[in-house]
Amino acid sequence: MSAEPLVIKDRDYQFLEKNRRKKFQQTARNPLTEDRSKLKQVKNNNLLAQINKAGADAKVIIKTEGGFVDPLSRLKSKPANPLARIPIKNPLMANKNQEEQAEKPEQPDPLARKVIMNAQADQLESIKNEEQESQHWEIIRKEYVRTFDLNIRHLNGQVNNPFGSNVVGTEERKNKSVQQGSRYEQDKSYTQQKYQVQTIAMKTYIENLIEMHSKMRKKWNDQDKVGTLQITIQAIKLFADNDQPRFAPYKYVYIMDILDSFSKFVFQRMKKLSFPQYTSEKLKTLTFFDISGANIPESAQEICRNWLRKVSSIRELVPRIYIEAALLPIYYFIDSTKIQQNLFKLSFQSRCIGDYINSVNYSTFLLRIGAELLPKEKSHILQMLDDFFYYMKQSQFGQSGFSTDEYLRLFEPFLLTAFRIYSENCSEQEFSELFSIYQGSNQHSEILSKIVQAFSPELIAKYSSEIFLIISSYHIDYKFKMYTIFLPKLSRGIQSMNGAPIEICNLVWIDLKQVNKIDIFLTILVSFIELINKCFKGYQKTKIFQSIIEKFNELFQQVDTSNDKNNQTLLKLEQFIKSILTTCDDIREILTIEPFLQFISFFPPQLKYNVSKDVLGMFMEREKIQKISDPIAVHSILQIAKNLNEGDKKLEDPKELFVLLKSFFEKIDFGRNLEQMLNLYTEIRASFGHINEVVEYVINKVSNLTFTAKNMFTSQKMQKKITGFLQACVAFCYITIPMIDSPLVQFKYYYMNSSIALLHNLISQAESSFKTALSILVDLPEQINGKNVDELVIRDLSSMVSFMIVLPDNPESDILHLYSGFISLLSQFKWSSRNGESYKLSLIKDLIAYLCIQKQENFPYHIDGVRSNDKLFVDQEFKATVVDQVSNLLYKIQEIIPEIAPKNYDQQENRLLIRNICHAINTILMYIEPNRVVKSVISQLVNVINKKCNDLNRDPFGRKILDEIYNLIKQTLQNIEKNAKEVKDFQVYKDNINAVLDSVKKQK
Amino acid sequence: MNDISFKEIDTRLLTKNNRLTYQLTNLFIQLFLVYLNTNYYQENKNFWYFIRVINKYKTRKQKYIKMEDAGEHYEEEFGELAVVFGDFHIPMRATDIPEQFKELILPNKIQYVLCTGNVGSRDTYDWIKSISNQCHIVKGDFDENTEYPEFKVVTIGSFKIAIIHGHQIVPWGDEEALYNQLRELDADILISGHTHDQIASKVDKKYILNPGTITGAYSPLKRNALPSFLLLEIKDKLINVYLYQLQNDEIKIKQTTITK
Amino acid sequence: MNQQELDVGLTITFDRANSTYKQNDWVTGKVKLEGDVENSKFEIYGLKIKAEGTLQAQNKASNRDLEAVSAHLIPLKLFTHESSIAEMQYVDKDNCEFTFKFKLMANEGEKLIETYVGVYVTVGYEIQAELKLANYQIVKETQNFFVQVNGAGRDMLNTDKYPNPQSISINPDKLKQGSMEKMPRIKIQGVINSDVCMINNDFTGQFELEECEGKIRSIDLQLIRVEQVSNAKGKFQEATEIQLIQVCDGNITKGIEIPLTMMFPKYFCCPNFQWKDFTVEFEVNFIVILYDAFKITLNYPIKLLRN
Repeated sequence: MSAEPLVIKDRDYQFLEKNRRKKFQQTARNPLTEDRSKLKQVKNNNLLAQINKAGADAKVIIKTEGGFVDPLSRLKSKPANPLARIPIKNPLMANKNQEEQAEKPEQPDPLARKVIMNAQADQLESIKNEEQESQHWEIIRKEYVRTFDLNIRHLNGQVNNPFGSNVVGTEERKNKSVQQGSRYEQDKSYTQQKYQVQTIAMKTYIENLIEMHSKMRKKWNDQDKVGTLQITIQAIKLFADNDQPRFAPYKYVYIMDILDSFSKFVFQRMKKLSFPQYTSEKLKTLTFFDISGANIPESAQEICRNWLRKVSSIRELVPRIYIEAALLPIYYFIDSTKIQQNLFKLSFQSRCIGDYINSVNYSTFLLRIGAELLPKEKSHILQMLDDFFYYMKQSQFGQSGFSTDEYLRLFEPFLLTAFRIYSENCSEQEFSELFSIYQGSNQHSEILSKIVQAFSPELIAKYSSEIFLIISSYHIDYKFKMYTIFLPKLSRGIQSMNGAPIEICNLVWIDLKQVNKIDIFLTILVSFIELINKCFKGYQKTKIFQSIIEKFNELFQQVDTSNDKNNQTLLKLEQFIKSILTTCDDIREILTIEPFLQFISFFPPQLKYNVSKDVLGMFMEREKIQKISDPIAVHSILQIAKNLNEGDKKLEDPKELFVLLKSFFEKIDFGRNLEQMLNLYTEIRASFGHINEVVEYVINKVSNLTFTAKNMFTSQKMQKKITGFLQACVAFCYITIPMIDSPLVQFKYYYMNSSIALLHNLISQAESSFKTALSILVDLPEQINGKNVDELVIRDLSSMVSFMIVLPDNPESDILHLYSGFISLLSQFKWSSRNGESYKLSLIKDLIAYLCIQKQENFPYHIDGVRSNDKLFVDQEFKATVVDQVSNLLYKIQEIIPEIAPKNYDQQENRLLIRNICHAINTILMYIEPNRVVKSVISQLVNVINKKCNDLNRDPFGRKILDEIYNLIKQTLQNIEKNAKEVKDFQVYKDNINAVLDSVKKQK
Repeated sequence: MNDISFKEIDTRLLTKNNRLTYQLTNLFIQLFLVYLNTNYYQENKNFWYFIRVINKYKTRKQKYIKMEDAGEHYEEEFGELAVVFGDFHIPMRATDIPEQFKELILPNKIQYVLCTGNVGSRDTYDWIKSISNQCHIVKGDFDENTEYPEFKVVTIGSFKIAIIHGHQIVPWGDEEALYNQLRELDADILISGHTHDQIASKVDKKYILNPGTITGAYSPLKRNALPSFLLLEIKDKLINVYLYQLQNDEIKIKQTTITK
Repeated sequence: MNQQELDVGLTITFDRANSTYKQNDWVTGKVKLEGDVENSKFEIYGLKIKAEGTLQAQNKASNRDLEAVSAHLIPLKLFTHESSIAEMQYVDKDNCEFTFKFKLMANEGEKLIETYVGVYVTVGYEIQAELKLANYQIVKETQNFFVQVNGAGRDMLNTDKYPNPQSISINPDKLKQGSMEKMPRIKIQGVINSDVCMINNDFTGQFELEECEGKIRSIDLQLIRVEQVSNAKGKFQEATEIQLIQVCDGNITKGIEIPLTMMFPKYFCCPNFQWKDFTVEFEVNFIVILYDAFKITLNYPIKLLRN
């Protein structure tokens, strides 16, 4: 080795900082609050006024020196700021909502008209635009579809054929085309056709109705008004035959579609005739009110009257009254005062239809017309309901082969619609009238349940005693069914806790005590619980809970815990728990009630897991904003959360679980009691240490805790006090990190832990974490997840070296103790076979920088309160060791170069190598005065660059890479030329490399 | 418009009446803007006279002097805006971006986003993406997302701007090392983060910027960093750099200009 | 002037959209020349209108009785009017509309009877416009209008009571006699609100099915006109159906009040009248049809009048 001493350049970081820093001036201008596009426009206009206005509108006050108001503030438009949203505290629930939203449109409407009418789509397009769907009919239609689960694809039955012999559906048609050919088959098809005269497939029936609909539209488009009316009459006549009541709803829906279109056609035409000056857009927005208030031309009125006359002479009752009702809106053009009278007349005429299905369906139609025209009118509804209740008492109410319940179901849309419309803005008086009608009926439970469902909780609550009286008279099965509907409604409606509600509570509880089946018990309990929550407070509530759990215990014991039925019970229990949580005012209060936790303990592990998950999820959803600071509540929720460990670990998705847990953890806030927080995290770690995400979360949280503590207690006195706490936190992290599975992640956290410790001036902790991090590196395998470990950690190594600059060495250990860890790493680390040298070079470069900085009088940075090596080691021995070590490193570079030479790198590897060599050269030149050794090293390195450049120059991809690193190489060469011209053979290499590079540039 | 009218305004400006000063200034600037439109102001002595007047009352700390600021801005071209931020560390070290910043950094206002990394949560990433469709993010030491590159070079106008997180530079924030990096990337400006120190330095006709941390998260060297970011108003030949900092819930803005 | 045949048409429009007028109303409207008017100017020699109302018998050939009676029957001119609404002048497209106006009053010795379209008796009112062109070409056009007479039918009443309810009563005991022996028991009680009916209002009533052994298939209301012509030569009377309206469909519920309602058609009905040789009256049949083809009919003569 040379005797020429190695000289490390002095660097005056403070001086450099001072000279290079740009000076900033305080400014009042804030480009982010300017509406730049607007300002551009007004640039030459009266912009000062604009600016003043902008200033006046300012929302955020921006403080400026001198106290003047920022003139340009706030001319901003207000687009939504995605981060301004209330952050979603519970991503799990949020996802659910999104899913729901996403799912909705996909749900195929089984009766979607567009699907069915595909064939006529073109034809219909023109009409469609004019047609607005009647909202009321849409709602009723949906009710039909839902109630009867209408889906024509599932229709497979025969009905009487009212269409005549030449009506053949698609299926029959298909058969027919196949069957053509031999005489025999023709005969067969003939007999088949004959058969069809009498009956017809339901599907075909509906197809025919749809065809009628499109025919009718076509007729209307062709201005054939009479034809349109005729088809409509024909369609309505089809109601006549109700041999198959189950088919009636299908028929009804499709015939009503036709009538609906008819009514709209006429109405729209009348609008057009009455307001010839209006555009179709404007006509669409015309309301009944506009029409009755306007001056309608006499000619238009005459046309209306002609329609009415024409209709009134229709011989058959059913088509006549249906169409009269459908045309009721056109009275607005003649004399709107007659509408009410006619509505009553028409609604009375429902009695004229002997068939109850037809009669009630007709009433449903009138309900809708009434709701459209006279939304406030309700007396006709009462009459219809009264009639209906009367019908129910008749012996002819029913159909052979139908149970009463099934038959009654046919009238569900009517009841739903009637109650729905009646309940809108329903006064107490109106409700009382309706209810007395019901009381006069045979008090069917099905109808009562519909009433309870339809009307507002307040009304139900007011009549709770009367309703309850009726319910109590029911058979036990119906009674319990009613409870589940009635009780939740009641609890929502009660105004005062006194009187009826408590009495009802007691009576229900008496009933409940009689129950000896656990699932019934739970079903009722689910609906009962809200009432209990509302009616009772504090001790009473706990007491009731206790009696519930006692009763539950008693029932639960009888249950065979192994069979499927039991699962049902547990599901009910789950539902019950959920209902407690959804209905209570203060969810935490419930969670702290001991019996509640007992409920959960009844579940077998997997279910317990599910339930706990749901409970937690609901808890998060309910308590959106509130923080939990009550230790007891936190404890009980944590108990529930712990149940999550009982699930089948293989089935769990730890990420999903973590999201849920995290949202819970985030809510916990013990305020200034940081010790308690730390204890909590300890508990969490103990319970959920198997979930990596939780462990990482806890480490981060505890790390943050140190900063919270530091910021919270700023006085000098307190600082000393909290040191213990900080140490505890750091220690907590230190011992928690090994719970993480991945050593690479462990390494990162140790490193982080070390830097946090140092920020808090906990030097020994920082040192041990640092060392542990290094020791983990040594043990890392060569590859992790198919990637070379050196590639994975090289940047972190650089970062660590940077950190090591401020991390002081322990004066009691050897000089450069920490650094020596890196040196051993150089040899022990599992460098990859291909790029190992490149990365080694990179690390050595970093270490050279480290060492050279260690020799400086002042380090480029410090940490508050930490005495780094520049303050600790001012002795010559230290400096000399540093210089020695630099020489060692240079030697190590020289050792590496021969290893590189024989290797045949691919282009990418070459690029990496050249980059790292260049960086190394630049670093060396930056910190060290070039002596002979340095120059020799550089010479060797440039030689490698030269060689590798030549290698790269051999193929297009290589040349592309050369082009990419062109700047770096050029810059490095310049650097060498500037600092160390007399490097051996430099000129040769340089010319050669330059020639290569220039040729690459030229080719480009 | 002649000398007299300007002179008159000038004398009136010397009165103590703030309201009048304000009005006159207002008028004055408007006159000036009309004047600018005539396009021969350089030759006209009135122009220089105006400048003198401006300078005169610039020094007077009148209440209504803010108008002068406005006047100055509108003679310039508006540049493109690029917001520079990074080191969010959400949710590990910070819970959220300060509300005040969120109210400022809104979509459709800023053309470019230059992010120095350590974004953290997906939500934050979505927020960044929402600001502009030209987002450039590099990988920080805590970014799990391996999609981000280690460094990125973006050309905006006539400026080549390189972004790197900076944890891989030894020693951190070293201008020499960063300068080398900048030269390697053949850029005019290098933006780096990691130190959580808001800095703008000029090294040999090139610039090194550091936006600091937008959330005020701690760094290995700093326990209490102030939330901060940079805004670049990039014009033809110069960039106005705005330094936003949150101090005690108030936004402070400083400004400097860098040229090519 | 062009001597060639001109393609000119006339349209008559009334100012009232429903072309319906009452006694002493001014009937007003326009006669418009159409066709060649669009492109040329030509001379007309005059435009006259002629309006008249006629009460007459028709379809005489289809009924021998009527044929006998009407041998000496002449249509009654209830009302006539004639006037010239345009003198000799040139017309072009800006000047081709001529208004007319006359008062609707009965001729002396006659009275106005409402428009009625019957089988054997009709009352019709029409206006005819006659245009004389310079080439002696004559263009004619006629148009019907309708007449309503307030208070019409009142003279036919034999009661002052309004409404004058009539009971609907079907009693099983009465029915069980004779051929109806096998008929199921059926009892209906109800009321027709009035047999004196305002022609503009509906015919209404309600009833209750009190008992019924069989099933009701349908209940209908049949509106019937009774037309009569009588003079020295003899008397002719014929009842024909105007309309049959189903008021109940199927087996209606017992013990509940069921409404009846029917609208009187516009042209086929009119207030009852008797004028000179002609009489027109109306009846309503209440018909209950049971399954098994049993049919019960109740007949109610009604008086229609206009308020």
